[in-house]
Amino acid sequence: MQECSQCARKTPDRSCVDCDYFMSPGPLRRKPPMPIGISLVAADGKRYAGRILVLNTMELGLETQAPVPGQYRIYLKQHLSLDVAGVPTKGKGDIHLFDIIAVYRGEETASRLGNEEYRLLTGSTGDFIEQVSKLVPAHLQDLVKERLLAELESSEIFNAMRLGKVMRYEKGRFRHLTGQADLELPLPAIENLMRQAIHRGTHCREVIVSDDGKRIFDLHGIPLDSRSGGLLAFDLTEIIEKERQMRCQEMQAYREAMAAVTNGRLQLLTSEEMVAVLSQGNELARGVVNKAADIALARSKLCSLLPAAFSARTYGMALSLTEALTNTLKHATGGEWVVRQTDEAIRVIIQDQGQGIKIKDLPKAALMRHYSTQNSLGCGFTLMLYYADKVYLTTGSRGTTLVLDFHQSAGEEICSPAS
Amino acid sequence: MLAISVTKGDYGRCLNLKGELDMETLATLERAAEVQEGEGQLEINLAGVSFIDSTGLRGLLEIQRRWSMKGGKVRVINPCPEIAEVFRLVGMEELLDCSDQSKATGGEY
Repeated sequence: MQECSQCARKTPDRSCVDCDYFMSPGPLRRKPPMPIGISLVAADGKRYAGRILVLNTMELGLETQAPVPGQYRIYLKQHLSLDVAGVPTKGKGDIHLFDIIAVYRGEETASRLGNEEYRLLTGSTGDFIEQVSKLVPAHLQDLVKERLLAELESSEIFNAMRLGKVMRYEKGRFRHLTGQADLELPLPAIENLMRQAIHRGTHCREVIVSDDGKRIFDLHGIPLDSRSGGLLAFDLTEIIEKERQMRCQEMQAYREAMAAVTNGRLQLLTSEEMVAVLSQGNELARGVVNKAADIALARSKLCSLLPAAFSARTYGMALSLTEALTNTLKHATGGEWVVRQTDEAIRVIIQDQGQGIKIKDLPKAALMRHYSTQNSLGCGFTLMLYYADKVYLTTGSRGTTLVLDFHQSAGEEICSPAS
Repeated sequence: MLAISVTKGDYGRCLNLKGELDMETLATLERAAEVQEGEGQLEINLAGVSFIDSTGLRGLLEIQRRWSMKGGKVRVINPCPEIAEVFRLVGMEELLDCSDQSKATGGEY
């Protein structure tokens, strides 16, 4: 019960910070790299200095002369403050355990420290801020610290921060300050960036690829005076690779989903697959569309060369071609069309060099009877998917290729024997 | 191409369309409808229309909405079977007057 008072008597030199009775052990219990200096403000406005020696998300181990028991507010940074209450039964000497009663972030209140706050206090980024702010003139240091802390609140930067380094540039040489010492940066690129920053007197930024092509760095050159400055380097490789993988997976999921939702009628193809599709069969006609009047021309050309077997499907084919070509005028600067004949089908190909179709809009367009004036794809896709037997699609930032297949057998009437 | 002739019937003024209604020709229809605004009821006769696409359909819907907001009424009549099907596919069949009998026009494109 009174372990702390006993300990104070018997083993006064034993550290509270490492004691499991003082603060329960656990993965979230951490010592900041350096004790964090703070102020505790009492209800009556009286201020006491303190240092955070150990913490978890709900408790702080503080060295302070503020009276315990007592409730205090701690202002950690601009929009982050805590209400804490000293626990009289824990601690000895000037070291006391404080419960975190409330965490105020801007307008929100929480009952414990969140991830970002926790990492800010326990991680080496605090260090980082100190180091970076040493690069700037004394009168700007607090401002820079403030700004950097505000930026770091967003977790993307937090993640990036774990892979990076800070260097001081002076008299043409770089000196490692903090961060990953073994992070290898291409010297010509960073020298160039620093010189640029110093010459312009302003922060310069560049994203570069390492010489072996394997890593991507986000570099920031900060000038200090006419001959020196600081360099921040973030290694973005993992982040970018992760994003690429996620996009690939997303694309794959869409391919499968679109095929399933449309019963295999709509297939998203890779560029390689599309190349194969485009080269099948023989060309019957082609044309270009730059304005609305060209679409009617395309229609009449298509209809003029359709074999008799397709006569019942003429309207649908003309409409599908029209919808696709109208889209090229609406979302690109026009497009090209080609009609080919394969063994199985009449194939209508429409290509443009617009900005591509957003894949996430496709599922809506693939549903039958969907019509919305808000949907930029309109109902063109709904119609194409209805009339065509197969639709192949490749789309991206460099343009869109749409292939509409009209199968011969589907067009013929099948006479069923009288039952 | 789209040609429009105006006649007067029991319902009101009637715009008789002949040709194709798409992105290129929609403006022609819009102007013709605008001229008739204030007439109360308008009929749009598609008997002579050989082709209509989603742009044309949307245009018809817009005209009907605009008239509706001003207390008027627009009805669309005589689509050929293929065109009636397109109305159905995009969920706009209410735009077609239900008493209308679709008459094939021998579609020419």
